[in-house]
Amino acid sequence: MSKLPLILLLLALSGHVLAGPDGKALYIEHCSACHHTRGEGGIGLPLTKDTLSSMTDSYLRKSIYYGRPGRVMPALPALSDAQSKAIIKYLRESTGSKPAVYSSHQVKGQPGAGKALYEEHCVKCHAADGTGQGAGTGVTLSRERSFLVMPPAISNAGFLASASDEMMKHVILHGRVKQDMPAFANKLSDQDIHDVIAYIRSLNISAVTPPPLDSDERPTHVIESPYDFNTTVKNLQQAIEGANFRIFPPRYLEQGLVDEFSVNKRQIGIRFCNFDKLYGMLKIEPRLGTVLPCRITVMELEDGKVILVVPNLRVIARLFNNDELVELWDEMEESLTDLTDEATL
Amino acid sequence: MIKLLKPLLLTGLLLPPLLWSTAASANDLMMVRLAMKADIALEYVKTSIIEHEYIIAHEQLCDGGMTGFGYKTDTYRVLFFGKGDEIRMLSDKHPDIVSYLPLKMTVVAEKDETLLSILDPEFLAPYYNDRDTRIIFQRWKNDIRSIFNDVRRGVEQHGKTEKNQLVKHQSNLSQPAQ
Repeated sequence: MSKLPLILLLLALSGHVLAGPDGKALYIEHCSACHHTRGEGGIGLPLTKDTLSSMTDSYLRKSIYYGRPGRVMPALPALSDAQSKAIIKYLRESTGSKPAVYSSHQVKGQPGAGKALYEEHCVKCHAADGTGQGAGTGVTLSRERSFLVMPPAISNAGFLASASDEMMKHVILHGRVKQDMPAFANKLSDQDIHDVIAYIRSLNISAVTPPPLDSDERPTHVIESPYDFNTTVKNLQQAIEGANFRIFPPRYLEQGLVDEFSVNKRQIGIRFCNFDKLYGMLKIEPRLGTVLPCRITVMELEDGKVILVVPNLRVIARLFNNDELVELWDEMEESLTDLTDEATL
Repeated sequence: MIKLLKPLLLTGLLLPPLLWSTAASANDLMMVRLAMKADIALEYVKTSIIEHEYIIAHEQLCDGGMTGFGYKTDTYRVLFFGKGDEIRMLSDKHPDIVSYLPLKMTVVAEKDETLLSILDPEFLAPYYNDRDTRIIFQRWKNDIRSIFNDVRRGVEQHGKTEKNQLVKHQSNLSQPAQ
């Protein structure tokens, strides 16, 4: 009789453990910001009944695992198989969609013949290189965008590793009418479609994501100034103004966090912005505010040494997984280097 | 018996979610989408940040700046927040971390919805490997998750209240005039 509570407890615990990961919670945490709370898409493809019914569970699982390199969607290899399955189960149950089933048969087509058909029928939305479009990935809905839904980057290595030939064939045959992708069942023969698929596979564009970091790379650059604190601040402000940035009132690092008499006034952030560039960048990636505006912090350390601390954009660039930003990061990195060089010359 | 079982019970209930949450921390940008207009969502976010005992040091009005320069934009704000003692401790110990301090959360309008995003503090953990710093990063991450959850719950509650008020209003309208 005395063992009853223990048995009940063990049953309760096993129930808890067997319940497995919470697919809805995982979806909300990892997917909903882009695919939307109810799956209607936005930055990411809509995950509605219509769309999901053309996808296999394997495609979804691989998409979660590989992501879309250089196109915002991160790879999530850290999610366990059980977690990925829980997300997929939640999607299936919440939309009432059933997984598609396709054979693993690989189609045989001629990329050369497929190229002409691709250019005729697909290039308008998917772009010549299959990257989706030229107007930007991750475009915020609060600003103008070229399409209601971002056309999938079908030459993306993550997509090609996830999608089977037969799944691609199904989508080409039946289209995704609600997302403006027409059906080609009456326009293209089976062989035509095989040729198009062979051409898409031949594109397989690897992301132009920034090169790997050096093993000793830090998230910031630290530059020692040969000048005293006040002169360094003044030099930096002059350099920023000279480079035609809009300069904001400086802020102490601790300002607003501790009472004004305790603020360390030897740690100051010089903040600046180029609104033209900022606007262009936010159009591509609305989350950039997490690392902008540009700020160089000037600090006097305990030993009297004066340093400038600048964010390392090579490290930051990796956070956004967005190829369209690569050139802009390089440009910004160059600007920051010029400014610190001038201030410490 | 209960005394003996208590630790077991706590471990059994808490360990699995802890394991899952650890394994799921792959994103370097934490995000949440709210079914609420940005101006109201912003107030929910600020309240929750303060309730989590952080101080909002500064609210940057990026939308105001861009509009001032002739660009058309919806609400775009950045909230800078932190705890004075932690910021001081970190900047003393790791002067090169200051570019990432204090924490920065963006509040972006997307039509009638709002997107919140913030750098996952644990993104910095590999670079600052001492125990105290890692504990702070973990706490920040947990607090950000909790803030996101609070705000999401608040938004759901707000939605229900609005819906009830609308139903009540419509039912009042359908009543014959006395």
